[in-house]
Amino acid sequence: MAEFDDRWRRLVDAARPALAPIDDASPERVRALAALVRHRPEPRPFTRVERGSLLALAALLLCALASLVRWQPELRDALAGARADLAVLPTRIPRPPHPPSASRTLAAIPDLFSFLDLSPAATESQP
Amino acid sequence: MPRHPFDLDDCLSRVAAADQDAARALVARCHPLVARIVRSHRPKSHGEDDLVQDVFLKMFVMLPRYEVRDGRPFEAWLSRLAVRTCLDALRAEARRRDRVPLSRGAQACLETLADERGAGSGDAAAARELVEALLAELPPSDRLVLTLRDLEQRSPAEIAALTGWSVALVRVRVFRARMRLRAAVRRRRKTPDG
Repeated sequence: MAEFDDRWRRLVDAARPALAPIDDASPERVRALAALVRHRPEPRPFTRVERGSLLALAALLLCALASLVRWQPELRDALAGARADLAVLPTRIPRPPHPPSASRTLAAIPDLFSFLDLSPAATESQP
Repeated sequence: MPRHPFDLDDCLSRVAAADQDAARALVARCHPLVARIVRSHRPKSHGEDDLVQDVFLKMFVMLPRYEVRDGRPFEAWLSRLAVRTCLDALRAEARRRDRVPLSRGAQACLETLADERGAGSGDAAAARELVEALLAELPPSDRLVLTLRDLEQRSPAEIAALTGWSVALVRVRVFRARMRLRAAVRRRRKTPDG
């Protein structure tokens, strides 16, 4: 990789003199570029397709709102119920208890060897 | 007639008020810098003059933001704007990238570049042709970072200032770009015309 990098650098060094010098811009060109200072970007108007999409979205939203009017009492009840549930919630939710320590967990495990002695696998006859 | 020293702050404030004379003075002063950056980084499909015009248009539009927010030298701000404009143009061209066939001289340079025992790099024009053809095969950010690092011999800190990337990211990108360049050389040798 390092050898390739060296060869690449040599190639680039050889290519560098082939760069054309930068000339100063002509007075006409400077004038044309300076005229850009008067350019002020204006907000683009909506296209016909964009206008159509916006109208369709607005109509959809109106339909959704109109359909909700029929369910106004149920909605009001649901909101009131949710508000009541939130009111009875404690301000701070208690943290869950810590898991038992490792020594207590190990003590709770039955004796593994005695369990294996009693298991059917231990009483099977060997071939 | 004595020449007055160029007062950049005064010029910028007059340009902000759309003063044509000040805009002309600013363009005349900054044109070599912008032209040099555009010439080094522009994609083949974009005319140099068009990209230079894009840079100056952006400069005039974004000039109020430079005054308000940035305390760094104006030339550094403009260089970054020019580099980012070229990178956008390179990204736009990346979708329709075609491989350019090499001349015999450039093909010889390619063999020298790929061969571990290679010594010379041929004449400048052939070397330039190969460098441009190989860079054109790379993704835009690789092309930009190799041009800045290897052709223009800029330090990672300078590249970071020009591109807005961190110095660490510049180093990583240079490394990866050289890996991809090596792969491009291998591809070129396998299928010279394809």
